[in-house]
Amino acid sequence: MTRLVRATDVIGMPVVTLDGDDIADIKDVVFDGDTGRVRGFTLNGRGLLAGPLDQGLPAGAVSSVGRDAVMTAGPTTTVSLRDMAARAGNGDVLGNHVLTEGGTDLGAVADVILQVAPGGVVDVVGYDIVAGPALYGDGRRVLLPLPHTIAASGEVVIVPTESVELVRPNLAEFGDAVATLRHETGDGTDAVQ
Amino acid sequence: MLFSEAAGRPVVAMDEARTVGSVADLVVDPHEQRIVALRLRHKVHGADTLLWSDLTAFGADAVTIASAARIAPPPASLDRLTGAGGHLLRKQLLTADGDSLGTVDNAEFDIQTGELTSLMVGNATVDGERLRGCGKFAVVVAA
Repeated sequence: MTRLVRATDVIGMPVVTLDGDDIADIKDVVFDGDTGRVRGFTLNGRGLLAGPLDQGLPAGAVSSVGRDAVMTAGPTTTVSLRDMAARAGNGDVLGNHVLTEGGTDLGAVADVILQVAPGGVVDVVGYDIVAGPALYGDGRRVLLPLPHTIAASGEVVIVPTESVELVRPNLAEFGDAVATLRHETGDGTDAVQ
Repeated sequence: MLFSEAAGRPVVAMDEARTVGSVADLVVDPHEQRIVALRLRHKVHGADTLLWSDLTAFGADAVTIASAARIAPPPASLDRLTGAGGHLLRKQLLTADGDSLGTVDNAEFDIQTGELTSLMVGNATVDGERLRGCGKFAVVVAA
């Protein structure tokens, strides 16, 4: 079953093997600076005194992201952080402003919405944004669907103008908005079910 | 039979017609979803493990074995099952999707075959065939 989760909800989750062993906690999400996609996760050791690990969990090694744990096949699925983060570059989009192709500032990114498909494929499908005056005057949080690939500079993120019409207030209504946008922009290869 | 009922059950050696020990724990192979061995509460001649295949019967009132000589140290093949990770009870039950279903309160097995028939979590039961892993952190079942 396809599932939508906020990136900040994944942070702190235990990473558990299908054999039932906990190998780490999720420290942060590593985004690809060029495409905005998820490259993987940085990790903390388990336990109160444990610090950051020099190993990361690539997105391809995730078998599922649940309500309570990130599941992976086994303890050998982690890779050197240096390898995983090599092209992460300007991957941190939090705080970046979202600009439509038409030049309207929609607000600032407060969180990233991840879609986890069966088999664990993790994709960025939207942003949770603090709406700017062009959308709402009261600074409320709304969810903005994204096409499969976006342009991001570390300063602003460019989104199609159509995505403004598909802003949603919560995750329950968001899956349809992503599917609609990706259909409209001819980018529906991984539409949300 | 429930795991909670199996604990403490006497183990009787038939050649001597006497109780040689009592069951402390059941060792489960999560990949086969069955009990593969019993651990005894106290060592007998320095050993405390009985393979399921060495039992004569897991009866309603006692476990019977041909002789106390069947009690042996755990074979290397059980290493991964008898450490901190090997116990089902009182662990968090996670689906392979990463959702917690609660804590494993009890489990049930078939005394004829040793097959794990169900895991009990609160008022719910999960089919034993869904068991996939039992580690030091959680018991994992198919989603």
